[in-house]
Amino acid sequence: MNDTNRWTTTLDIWSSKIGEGTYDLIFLVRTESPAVTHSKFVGIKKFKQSKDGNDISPTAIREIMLLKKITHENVVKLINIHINHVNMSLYLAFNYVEHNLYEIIRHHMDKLNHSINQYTIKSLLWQLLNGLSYLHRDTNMQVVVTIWYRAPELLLGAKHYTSVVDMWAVGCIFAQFLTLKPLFQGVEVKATSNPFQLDKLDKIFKILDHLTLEKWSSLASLPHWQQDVRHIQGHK
Amino acid sequence: MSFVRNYQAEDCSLHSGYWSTFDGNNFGNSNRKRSRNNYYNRNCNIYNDNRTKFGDHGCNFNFYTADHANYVRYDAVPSSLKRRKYSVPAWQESQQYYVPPMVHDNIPSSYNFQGPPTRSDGDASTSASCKRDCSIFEDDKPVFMSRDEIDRHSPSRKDGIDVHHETHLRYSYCAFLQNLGMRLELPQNIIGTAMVLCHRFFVRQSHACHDRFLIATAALFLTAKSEEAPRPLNNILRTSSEILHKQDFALLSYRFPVDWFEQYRERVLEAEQLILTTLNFELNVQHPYVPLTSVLNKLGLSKTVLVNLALNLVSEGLRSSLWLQFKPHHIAAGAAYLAAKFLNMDLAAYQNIWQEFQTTPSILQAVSQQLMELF
Repeated sequence: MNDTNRWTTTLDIWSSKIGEGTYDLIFLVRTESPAVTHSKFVGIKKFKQSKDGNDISPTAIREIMLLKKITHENVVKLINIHINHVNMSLYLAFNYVEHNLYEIIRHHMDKLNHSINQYTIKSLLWQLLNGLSYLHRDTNMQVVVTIWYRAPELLLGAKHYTSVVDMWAVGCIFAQFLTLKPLFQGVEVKATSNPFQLDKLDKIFKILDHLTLEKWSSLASLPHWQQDVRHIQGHK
Repeated sequence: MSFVRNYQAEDCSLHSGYWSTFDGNNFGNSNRKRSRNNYYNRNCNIYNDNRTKFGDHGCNFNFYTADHANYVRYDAVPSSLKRRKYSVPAWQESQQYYVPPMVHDNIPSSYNFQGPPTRSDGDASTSASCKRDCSIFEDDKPVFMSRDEIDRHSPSRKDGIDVHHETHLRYSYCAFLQNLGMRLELPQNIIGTAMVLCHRFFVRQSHACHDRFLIATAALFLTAKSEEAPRPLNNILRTSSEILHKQDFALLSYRFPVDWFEQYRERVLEAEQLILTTLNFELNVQHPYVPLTSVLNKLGLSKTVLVNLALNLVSEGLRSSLWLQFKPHHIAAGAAYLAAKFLNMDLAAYQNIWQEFQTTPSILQAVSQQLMELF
């Protein structure tokens, strides 16, 4: 599509970088074609190249496969995909969504200096749950998230988990709507692929008390519970 | 009733000028680093427009010569090449199996090989027919087509490849994929998905414009990544070149120029992109295995010879264009119906069986008929 070519070739000239993830960069781009989207702007995600630097990364392929399946009012819409054949870079164009939850929370905290209206919270939470319900039901997808919102079983090294980890995350977000602060704001350890997140677990224990096998029988099967039980007990 | 017969394919070969993975054209200037998007700027150097028949040229070309559909006894083949199957001991002992044959490939050793004449309607990227036919399939979701549509509207028709010939080309890349996938120890569903992606690709692009083995290699690489079982690209390249040339990888460097492997790597990466753009990133493939086993389980037919035979028929069906025509549960129903027929079982005795498969008699008939044609 010509529009996409124009977006990708002029990305650095007249677009602004609005975000960066582990695997991608997000740009805000103005579009001149009403055929592409009703909005004047589109969000373009440029995938960082894979480790090989040549082929399209498995992460990108998986994301595209899922996004192509998804059609829901509470899930961001993929408009277009473009491969730049010269440098093998991959671009995804999305309908631009003006705000994210973090911005709304920041706005209330910094500018308004008061909590979010309860009806707004109710609306936001309903939208979040509605989108999540669709993802769980229609795509069997789990949305594993950043450390603040990560469920205890993930922090304890679980390899197999269900959509309930997302419900933990929703609970954390709900609490943040109410207090404007992250509920469990632990510091992430990034030493290995699956490090033991003691600081984060400690934050959870301080609020919800310590985990025990009596409370949660399947704890024994979690890798870090077996390996680091002394650390955990010693932190009481 | 034995459903395996020996079948010698007629010579179904395309000359190497249709861009064999390692043909001499590719190494005309080994000092020059090819640009990444060279794949897209390649002419379809296939046939003269004034040709009298398919493959008729004024100069000599090397050919792929393959017994693409040679059926042999399962136990007569080395275990490394055996097709993965669903095991019920009684069934194993009493039946024969289709084994994907080795792909024969005569590659020119010289690399100042003169390419065939360019098509007069050739375009900078692909032939006019390749371009024309892509536009039919611009919808996002894989649209099911009738067999007649597939047979009549295949882009390969415009390049002189008839239905019979294209069927054999399809069999050959499926045999290659089965072999490659098993050597790479990939699960059967991933191998099957790669086959279906290739089928989808070749109803949008002509066989005359693209080396089917290159496309198949890229499709398997892509599918393994998409199904979270990635294999290192170099492993895939080594294994595929060993299969194509029937030679140990270490010996291949003596046959080809210094940078042949790097060039092959680039070609596969370009083919990966081409598959993605041709299929509009539609990589989701549903297989009939789950509906087949779940319906038969529900009817108390799990762990029976019927299930085993039906699963084997589904695996055989991957070589056909059934996945482009029917939904997974329809293929499952056709396989169950045909398996029951082979075993003289009356599935109609099981109440509502065809409703469970959400199918109709006409669909059953069409699917089972096409499965029968494979044997």
